[in-house]
Amino acid sequence: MNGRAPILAFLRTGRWFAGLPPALQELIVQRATVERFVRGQFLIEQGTSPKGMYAVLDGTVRVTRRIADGRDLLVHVGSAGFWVGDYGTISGQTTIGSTMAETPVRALFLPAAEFERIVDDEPRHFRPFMNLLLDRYRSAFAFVAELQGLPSEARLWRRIEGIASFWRDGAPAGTPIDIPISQGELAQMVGLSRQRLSTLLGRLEAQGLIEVGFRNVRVVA
Amino acid sequence: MIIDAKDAGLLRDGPWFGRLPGDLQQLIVDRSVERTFRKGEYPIREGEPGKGMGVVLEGQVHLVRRVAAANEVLVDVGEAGFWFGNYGALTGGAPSIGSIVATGPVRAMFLPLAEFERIVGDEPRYYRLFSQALIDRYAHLYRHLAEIHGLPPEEWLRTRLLELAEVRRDATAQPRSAPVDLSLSHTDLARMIGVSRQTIAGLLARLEARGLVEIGFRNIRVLG
Repeated sequence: MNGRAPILAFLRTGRWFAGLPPALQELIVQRATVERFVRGQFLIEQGTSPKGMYAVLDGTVRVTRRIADGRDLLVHVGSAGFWVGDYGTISGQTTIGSTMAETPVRALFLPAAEFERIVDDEPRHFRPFMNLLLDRYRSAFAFVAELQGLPSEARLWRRIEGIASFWRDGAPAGTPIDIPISQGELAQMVGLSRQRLSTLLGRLEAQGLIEVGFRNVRVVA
Repeated sequence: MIIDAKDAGLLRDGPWFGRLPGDLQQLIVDRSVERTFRKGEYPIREGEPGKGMGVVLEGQVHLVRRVAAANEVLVDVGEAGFWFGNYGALTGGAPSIGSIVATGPVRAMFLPLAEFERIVGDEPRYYRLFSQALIDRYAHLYRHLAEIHGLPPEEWLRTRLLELAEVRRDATAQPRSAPVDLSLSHTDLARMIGVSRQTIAGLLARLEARGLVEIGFRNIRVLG
């Protein structure tokens, strides 16, 4: 996947990108560059001015948010096909989370200035970009309500399933998804003790929904 | 619709509407209609196609989301100056992701979806300006996603109260540190934070002891 044509073909397997007008798809890939990151390197750092948006082509990234007490809490784990940097690029505001390479990562990078040039030349292109943020808004809105309103087992399942649905984006339903996430991180995400989390993961496993491995949760349902 | 000086002032004081170009402000008002709702009525119902966006001119609404058959979470509380239905309008009529419920008599200005589409069809650059209000709310939601279980309940409650106070101050053009009265019951707060009413009473008492709030009947005064 080094030339522009294979990148375009790959990105078209994703739901958001596939829904863009073909002219805009080509424009994005033409104006973007391919960037490489080593493990532990930041694609985006919380609190900085937006550089642009990325589509992960290879590798895995972790999206975190620094909370008031200084801890970085995991919000999402993204793999090939995952777009990130949309909020900062579209809003022009300071970034609201960090994205770090979990493995060596290759990503397509659309600089913020190129984004602005695209929507300035054709203001109708802004709306398709905004669809990505609207989709994220819908997910975040649902998660926030579920995190506070559902009993712990249901909210744990919804959170795991939510991450899996990003990974599954475009792939047929029923394909098992491996999410590289530790039990400590999952416990923080849904507000449970490690012991309680371990019990609940055991129950989801017994229901045949997931398989738990070392720093890995396989979603089979 | 025709609006009086009081409503016009309320809209102009709003952080989103107040920053729009004057000609777009005028277009939105001209193409909107006035709607009134009785207590318990739904200006927007979760799952139904978006019909447009609106702003509360008088009264109070709750933004709720169903998470299970018998469980509705209170996501936000909006008073005069609160915009709703932005998601439904910006998506061009996607199913609504939450419901808006009137907690008493409500008067609102409502921009129907067809009029929204006509405005952004005639001038595509306006779509980005319409997006701004939702983009700001996304930043809040994103923060909630991390903090809802990352912070201890007392800090999570404090965060939410400070945010609600900030939204009220912005909507009414009050200075940063002005005390804000929020008309919220313990039940409302319990549904908002995801804890029991008993727990809320204890958490509020601790915040009051820290000098951050004053508790009245169906009223929380945020001091910080």
